[in-house]
Amino acid sequence: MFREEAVKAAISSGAEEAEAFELFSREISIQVEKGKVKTASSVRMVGLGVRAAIGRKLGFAFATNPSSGEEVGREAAENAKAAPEDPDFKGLPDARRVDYIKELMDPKLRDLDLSDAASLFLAAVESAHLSDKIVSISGKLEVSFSKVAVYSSKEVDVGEERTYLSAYIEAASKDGDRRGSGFGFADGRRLDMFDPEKVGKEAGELAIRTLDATTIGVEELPVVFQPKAQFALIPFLVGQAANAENLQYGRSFLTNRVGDQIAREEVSIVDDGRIPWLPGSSSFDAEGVPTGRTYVVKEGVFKSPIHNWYTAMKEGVESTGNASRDHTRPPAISSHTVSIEAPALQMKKDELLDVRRGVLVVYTMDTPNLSTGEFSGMAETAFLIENGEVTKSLRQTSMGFRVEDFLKNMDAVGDDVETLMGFRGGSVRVRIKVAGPGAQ
Amino acid sequence: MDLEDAISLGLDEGADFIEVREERTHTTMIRMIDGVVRELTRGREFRVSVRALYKGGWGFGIANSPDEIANAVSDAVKLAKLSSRWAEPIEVDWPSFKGSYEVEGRKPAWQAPVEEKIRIVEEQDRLAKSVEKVTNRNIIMGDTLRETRVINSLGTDVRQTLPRVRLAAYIFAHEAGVTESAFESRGGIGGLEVIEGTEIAEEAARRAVEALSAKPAPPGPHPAILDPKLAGVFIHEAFGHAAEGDAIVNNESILTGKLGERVGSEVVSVVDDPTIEGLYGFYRYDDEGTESRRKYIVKDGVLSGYMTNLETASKLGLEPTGNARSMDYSNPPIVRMSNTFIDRGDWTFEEMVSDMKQGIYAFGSLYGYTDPAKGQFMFKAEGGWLIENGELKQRLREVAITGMTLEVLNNIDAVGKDLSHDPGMCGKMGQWVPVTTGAPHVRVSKLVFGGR
Repeated sequence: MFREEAVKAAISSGAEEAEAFELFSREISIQVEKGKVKTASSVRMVGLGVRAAIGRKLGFAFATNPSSGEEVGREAAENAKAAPEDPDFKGLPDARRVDYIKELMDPKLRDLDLSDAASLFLAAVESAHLSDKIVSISGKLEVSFSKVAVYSSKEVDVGEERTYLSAYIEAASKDGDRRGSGFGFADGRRLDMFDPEKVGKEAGELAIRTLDATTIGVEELPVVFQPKAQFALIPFLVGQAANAENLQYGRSFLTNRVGDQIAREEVSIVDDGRIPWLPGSSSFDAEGVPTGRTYVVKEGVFKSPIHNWYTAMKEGVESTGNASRDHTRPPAISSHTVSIEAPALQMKKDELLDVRRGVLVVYTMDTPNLSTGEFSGMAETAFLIENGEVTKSLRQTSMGFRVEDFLKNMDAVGDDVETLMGFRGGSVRVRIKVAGPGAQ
Repeated sequence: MDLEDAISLGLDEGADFIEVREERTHTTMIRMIDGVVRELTRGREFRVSVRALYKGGWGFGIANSPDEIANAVSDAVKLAKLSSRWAEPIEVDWPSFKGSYEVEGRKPAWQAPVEEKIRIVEEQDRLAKSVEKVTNRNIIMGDTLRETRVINSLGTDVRQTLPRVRLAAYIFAHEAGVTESAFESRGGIGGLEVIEGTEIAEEAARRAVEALSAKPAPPGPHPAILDPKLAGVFIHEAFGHAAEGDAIVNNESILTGKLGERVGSEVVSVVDDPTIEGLYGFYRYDDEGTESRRKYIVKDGVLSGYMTNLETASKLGLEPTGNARSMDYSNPPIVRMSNTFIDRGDWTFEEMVSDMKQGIYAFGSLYGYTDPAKGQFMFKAEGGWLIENGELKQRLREVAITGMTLEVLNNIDAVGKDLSHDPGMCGKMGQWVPVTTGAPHVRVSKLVFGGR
């Protein structure tokens, strides 16, 4: 119990308030290169992060694998003494009642041994090998079990166990001079959320399909964004643009816009920290505040930012339970699981593709500009749609649009709901400008 | 257990090769927002990692204290034996290295009082505040002292102590409903002298204000001039990752099998050089203990080398180049870049601009990424200028630039004299390591811009 030692030491070293965040994690991983197991790994770690406050002065210290909590607590108090005052700091979080979510720790995942993990992952690798055109398959399976606890002099005393799995497979293909690549990905807190065959097959199929590539010129087209093409876009809107710190400092394009229509009225966007078994879920946030469900956009209107304790106190509101951190940094703010709700716009996935000419974006990792709300990025994995059929893979295809236009102009949301990387939703279709080097 | 005994234990338990790495780090981080210190952090970390090889399978384990080293060795050997069930055999014919290297810096940051560091951050905040229309100032200063020792069963035993310092400014400006931002940083190996006397916050503030009048870039293909920051990230993303030995060995790179072939215009030479003292990506020994060295990846347009670690060098029949790096010792080392740059040419920036009828001057780098298998890359410019008839006409907003590696290197038709380097962090397989990107100004006959 390093956390109690640390808080006690911080207080006895002159801190008026102190809080310790303690993390124990055990992680196993299997890394595959060229279709073969490359490295099996097993790592354990204890992390301790301590905040100490003296009046409006706040100090922080951390240690990875400490031998005791005392030294870290003392150092946090010393840092608080050295820190200048922060006029907006109104104290460390008060204790709040936490309703614990049971569906965060899967004993099967916790007890998975490396041999079984390797067999499971190699099934995904095998599924990716769809033809001789697949020249290489690589990837990694990571499984972790963690115990997270927050303890403070203000009677915060919470802790829980969580499990997490992430798996990705990358396949490279070659056919003469033509090259392609594809990937598959899964994450979750339960072992059966990883379907090896599905993840491997997805990577292999994309690698084969991207061999046949073409380019386009500058066109305005209906573009269908699959769920994997949205996790850098929609969660960004919540985690960054509606992040209370970014709003309070005027960094975000949504500054002073609570109450404004920013999406079409059929669209709501919600952040939810309590959905069973999802990686974004936990009973409490990184400050011990219970997580919740926050409508950030309700019927097209920007309703609420997401907060941690500091930003909430600065505005005189309740924290939304969105504090996040590892043990090496003080709490920041991030989203949990962000979902799009738009039942009035819902249609079958195939109906979304029913356009004369368009683009299907499978994946992009680009994010909008926080201050302008403009998106300029690459459709990393994308295909041309011709007469309702997905045809050739596209290379060097860029996209540019305003996020608000994206939210106001989406005309359909698919029923192909996927959950990954903190996003839950189906494909969306929107008309935007795309740019390539010119039609081949 | 000491590290030498750990090697003996690993061999006794049957490992073909065993490596033990010990790491201690001390870190300070200060984050000031609008003149208020919002974060003052100090921390320390200690780890011992063990990597074992058995019949081609690698095992990796961690000890969190000296008492746990024996267990970590046993874990690593067991895991290597497990991996070997599915692995391909590897011949352990690797060289070994001995030595030690320590950089102290003239003003060691880890020994400096925190008040002195706060003064440095305050000075940057003051510089940014003095610029009209600036609405939010974020100044971050971090320093790390990393002490490492790597020993292995082939006789390698190297020690290294490297202090790194970095100062960064992220500044926002606002006018008439428009908000813009700019980022600037300085960093390197050494003490506080690395960041003293810089005016990065003022520079970032000036660019953020200048961007308030910017327009979206015209989408589509354009001739382009890239500033040293952007050209540096371009060569790192578009080419560097494709020349990493693991991608080559695994047939996941468009450069596999192309050694000695022309891959770019003859005005292009690309260097990876971890030995440049003071730069953020400097190291004397890599994280396998291999002595680092300067090498040309591309010389006058011809692919002349790959970056390798011990294993990929052996598989490719090359010398190890000292490019094995890990984020920290809870991760195994993988092939990474260090200080990677386009070597200088003979043009001036003014000559490039005056020679261009229509095009875009793109500058500042936000981030970039690549898919070495397809040879496709993207890098995001902080902003740009539209060029018409040899003059900078209209300021442009942040824009994504895409291209195909082998096409773009051929399309570089002018390289400047003004080589400079920029510190940054490079991510690969979840591991982030300090690097520098570098280049002079370069001109490319065609790149695709993602405007609207």
